Amino acid sequence: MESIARKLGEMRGEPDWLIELRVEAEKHLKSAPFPAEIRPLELATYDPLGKGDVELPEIKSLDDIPENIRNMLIKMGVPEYEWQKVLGLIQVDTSSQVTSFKEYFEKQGVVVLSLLDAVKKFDWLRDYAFKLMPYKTNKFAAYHTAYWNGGIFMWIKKGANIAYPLHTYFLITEGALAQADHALIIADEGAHATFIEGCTAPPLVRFSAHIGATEVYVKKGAKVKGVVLQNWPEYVNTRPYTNVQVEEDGEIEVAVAILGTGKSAGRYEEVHLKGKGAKATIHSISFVKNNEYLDDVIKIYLEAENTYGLIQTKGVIRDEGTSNSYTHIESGKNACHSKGHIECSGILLNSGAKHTTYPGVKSISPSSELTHEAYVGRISEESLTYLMARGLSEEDALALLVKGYIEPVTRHIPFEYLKEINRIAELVAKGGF
Amino acid sequence: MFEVRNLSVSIEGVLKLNDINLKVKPGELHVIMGPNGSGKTTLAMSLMGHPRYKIVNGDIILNGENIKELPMYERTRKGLFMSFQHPVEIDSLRYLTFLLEVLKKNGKNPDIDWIKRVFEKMGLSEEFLNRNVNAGFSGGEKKRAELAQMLLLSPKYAILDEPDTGVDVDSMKFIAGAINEALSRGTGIVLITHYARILNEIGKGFYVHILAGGEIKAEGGPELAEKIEKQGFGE
Repeated sequence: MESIARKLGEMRGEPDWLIELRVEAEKHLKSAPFPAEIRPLELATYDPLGKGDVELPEIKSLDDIPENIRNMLIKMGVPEYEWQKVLGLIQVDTSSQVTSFKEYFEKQGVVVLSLLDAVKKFDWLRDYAFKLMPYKTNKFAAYHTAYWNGGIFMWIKKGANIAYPLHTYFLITEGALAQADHALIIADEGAHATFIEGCTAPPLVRFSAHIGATEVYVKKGAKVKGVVLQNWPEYVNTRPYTNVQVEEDGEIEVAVAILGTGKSAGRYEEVHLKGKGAKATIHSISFVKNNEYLDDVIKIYLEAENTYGLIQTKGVIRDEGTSNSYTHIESGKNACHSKGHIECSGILLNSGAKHTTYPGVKSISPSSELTHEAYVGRISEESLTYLMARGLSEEDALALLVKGYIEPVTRHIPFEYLKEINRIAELVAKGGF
Repeated sequence: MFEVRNLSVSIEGVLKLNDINLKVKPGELHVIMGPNGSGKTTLAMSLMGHPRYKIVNGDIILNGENIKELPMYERTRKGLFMSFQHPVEIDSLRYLTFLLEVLKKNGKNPDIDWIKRVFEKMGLSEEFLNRNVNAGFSGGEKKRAELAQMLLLSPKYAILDEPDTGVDVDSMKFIAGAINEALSRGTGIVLITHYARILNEIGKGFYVHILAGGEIKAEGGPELAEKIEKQGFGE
């Protein structure tokens, strides 16, 4: 049988090493296991060479926006100038605005390319691309490696300090529209940068399954901040995978806001602190409503001395939503004097909602200190009464309590998104979303 | 005027207040005293409209409007305020976030500097605004923050449920100061208390109503409070 993976790689004109990697992954696909924490997905139904299995109307201008989507964008308060981006109307790769952005970034030491162009241009990327997510890991990794079909490469060169956030979603559409998009980010020694991935409004996508992956290399002394915004339309199943490797004195700070899980979402994020003094902090909020389903897996591995990891997750669950939060910090034998802390919680807004937390710490280094706390609760009647006695209606009181609850996470998210996120929090609290 | 007419209240079918009458004019202080379990908190909660307390008879009139059917938040927006005897601790809501929202919802200007000044006046540093609502506050700090809210909202009428219970001497001064300020601004106050002590700090005349067994048993002026202080609620 002809290899679809080979065909895909050849069609795209990829280097041999990458095509061979695709083929190996494809061979492994059938026997690879699904990851333990994440809900399986029937992958055989998708055609990796197709244009998607979701029927969408042709949208050529803002006038073609379906009524329900228009209403939602208005309800969320998404500014109209962002609508085009949401609907994929801007061919951003070629637009002059983005070209000038890219030139501007290039001067500051940032290389932004589609991953395909990047692997053709830089042969050394064979030591980086797909190395942090071996296809043998699980079925999603195998599928992704075999059939990835778009993505972005960002390289922050040594010592570059980028004051403006880099929007991965905005800079290259190929990745956003692909079924299995791959982002490869390298922050070289001493580089500083902030990345923003996704947006607060649901993108219109033509595949009902998305198996994306992100690899991030944080080199010695580099500092990377990532903001991930996800709001998938209700017909989509997503299984995004992220793996970060941090070297000596490097730092990664991630703020994740899952605003809509789609039909089901299985997020897997893993950080390896490989060098002395490396740090990772991950803050996450998720809203799970209607019949949505979320498996959220976050793991930090402390692998060198004086490393530090923090995971803070907050879930707001309503209707028949189901959320499972798996958090794990592990210190290895070299992780002397390392510290890790997990704080995960969820609040349920009604009796049909479900939230389960599985916090775990594991240490084989006697001098490291790992702690965790977890709770699942409801909004207390007494708090609601108190706020109502201060002039807030029950709905407003609930919305304020939800807003307050997520504030420790939202303070890590850039201001320009906060308004929409708080609006979504309010809509979730009031049940109008 | 704030008027309570023939008010009777039950909780889960048990009558807790019977035929209470009260008339409060702007700037007046009415002190409700009574032993434990006499129905003082029930009175405060019923006036405010807590859903657990069922009005079986009577009316609550705020400036000519009967508010007894209104939900709590509408009563607040119409200018009624209550400070809680045991303010709830909300450990995931910042005090400042809370106050800004409360001021907005009550049609007041959410001015952070003004909030800071009022807190300072109540002996509460800026740091309290960055803490979660009442979380880890001492008894006195909670009560002072309640009264800071009263000063910010500048209500037409305020019901203060034992603002002087469980507080230290310093807090007592701040609390009395807030009451005096509100009175001088024309807020009519219903002050529920166990002790006459706080009344020594009040700079003007007041009315005293003795509540026992869910009924008002005696009414008078400051001399009645003095008598209670000396003899207790004996008869």
